[in-house]
Amino acid sequence: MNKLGCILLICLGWLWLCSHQSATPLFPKPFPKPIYDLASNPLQKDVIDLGRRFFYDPILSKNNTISCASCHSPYNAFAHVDHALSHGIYDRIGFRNAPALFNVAWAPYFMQDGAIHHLDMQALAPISDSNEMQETFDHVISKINADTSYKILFKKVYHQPQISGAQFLKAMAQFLLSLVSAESKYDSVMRGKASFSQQEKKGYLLFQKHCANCHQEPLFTNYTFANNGIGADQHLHDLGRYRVTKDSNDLLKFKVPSLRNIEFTAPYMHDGRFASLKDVLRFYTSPHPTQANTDNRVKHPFPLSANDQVDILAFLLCLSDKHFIFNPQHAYPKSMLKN
Amino acid sequence: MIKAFLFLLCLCSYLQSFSQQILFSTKASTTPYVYLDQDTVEIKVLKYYITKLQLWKHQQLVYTDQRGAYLIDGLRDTTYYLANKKPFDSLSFTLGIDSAIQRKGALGKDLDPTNGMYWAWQSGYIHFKLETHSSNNKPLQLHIGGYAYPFNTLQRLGFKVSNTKKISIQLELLKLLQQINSQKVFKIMSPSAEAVLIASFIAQSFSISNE
Ligand code: HEC
Ligand code: HEC
Repeated sequence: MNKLGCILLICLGWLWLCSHQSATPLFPKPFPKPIYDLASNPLQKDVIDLGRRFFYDPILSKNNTISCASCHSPYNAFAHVDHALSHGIYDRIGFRNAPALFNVAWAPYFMQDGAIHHLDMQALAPISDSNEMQETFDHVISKINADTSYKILFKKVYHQPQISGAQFLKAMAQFLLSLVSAESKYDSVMRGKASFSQQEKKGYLLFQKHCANCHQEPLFTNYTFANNGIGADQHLHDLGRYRVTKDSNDLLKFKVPSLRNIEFTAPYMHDGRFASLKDVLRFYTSPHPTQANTDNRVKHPFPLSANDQVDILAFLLCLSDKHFIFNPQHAYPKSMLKN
Repeated sequence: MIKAFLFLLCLCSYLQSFSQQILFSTKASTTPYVYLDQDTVEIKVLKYYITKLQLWKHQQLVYTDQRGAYLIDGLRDTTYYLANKKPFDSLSFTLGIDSAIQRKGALGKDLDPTNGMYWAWQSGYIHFKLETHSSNNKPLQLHIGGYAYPFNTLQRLGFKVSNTKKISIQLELLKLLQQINSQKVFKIMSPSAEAVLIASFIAQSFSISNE
């Protein structure tokens, strides 16, 4: 009887631990409540894994060569390594720099102009874009439904051999939601488990003074659109948020990007015009032409000495999250190698 | 066995006696063709969404349909049944998908994006899709959508109903094509001021036949 009680207790404790394991990653400590309505798509390990498989599968593109990971590489916090503008199908050059993907559960909209209002719908954009994957969505779904290895998976996960477009999108969204980055040195310092160096601390204070009202803690963005003064690219004529609203106040405004993992996501800005963080700081601190709606906070060069800039840089490196980058649960699923 | 059959029969006739039949159809010259300015216009695609169907009596709401959305293929007649039991004298519905539904994320059935009625690059449903082909007129490619200010193309339509057993809603295609032609608009692929204008033409081209 005593033994049985013991076993029961251990089982219960284990269950308790498990339930907490699945609950914690989405609610890391200093983060606010997610924007994504998790009740509409409750996270499940097997669905996340299915979404991950979709993410790495080139079956989503017309000639079966391009996957989501072709542009969003896990080792670059899911940004596109070394490419200013993303490369897609038949090596066509895309319109914008592929952004890093993490903490999407907190984003109220997607894309640098906010054209997409729900994470579920995000995958539709690259699949049907002529420069990216050039597929039609219903054809992707029929290709997947005809694939025998997916049929086995769908039976396991959904108890049916085929899935709908909505189920595909929800599974993809679950994988994207699982990409939570909250284990940087900055996070450890905030949780009282590490401390900044002298230089990092100075950088943090300068950052809070000059940058944090746009790149707001703890997500390092306030999700507004702003014209930070870099001006339009001569060739792309990318008008930013204006493309969506057709409101002249929104000309050249882009989403304030998160600066988490910024070390891994070069090049920078929507068109990838700056190769290094030093270049970005040089831009923010030197005189540059401005437009009528350039944000007042960045209209004048920041008064930051060369030393200050190095300090800010040291702080920005504290936002790197190696646990996230090398998390095997985000990587190419080994099960895909077999078939 | 016989009892069960009888029960079903009774149930069916009971439901029939209370349910309204609602028919959506398109008035064309001979589907899928419309004769316009001595030209034959072939309708390649004609699809639209109906949502929030409601029935009224003396301006009091008596029934709101529970099914989220109906994707209507304008190239064939489609009949639905409503489970309303109360008397009514008018009907209203929305042409398009409102923001409450748009913000829900991925949805299935009639709202599944595999239906080709969802915009990828600027998210939102296409409320009304019309594509034509003809030898003299420019082909039309009108994807009308947008649910937010300033390019809200949602339209709320209301009709008096005299025959409450069988309601027949008709889209008059010739009228619509004439109005579109007068504007020299041929291609719309995103929410815009033009889309809002065309949406008002579309709304004006629906009518109810109470025969
Ligand atoms: C050809 C390269 C390419 C491919 C393939 C691609 N993307 Fe992207 N992705 C981009 C670019 C470029 C952007 C930014 C576009 C913009 O802002 O207008 C982006 C943006 C995103 C965003 C929004 C991020 C944010 O913070 O706003 C998400 C999420 C995303 N992609 C997921 C995916 C998924 C899922 C797939 C596979 C179905 C995919 N991408 C395939 C290039 C690509
Ligand atoms: C007015 C708001 C605002 C302020 C203040 C601001 N930024 Fe930005 N920042 C932006 C916007 C908007 C972008 C994106 C512009 C684009 O993509 O074209 C951006 C982009 C960046 C990028 C590139 C990110 C990427 O992923 O490409 C870095 C790095 C950056 N900012 C650092 C800083 C630093 C450091 C400061 C303070 C010295 C600062 N920003 C102050 C609005 C701001």
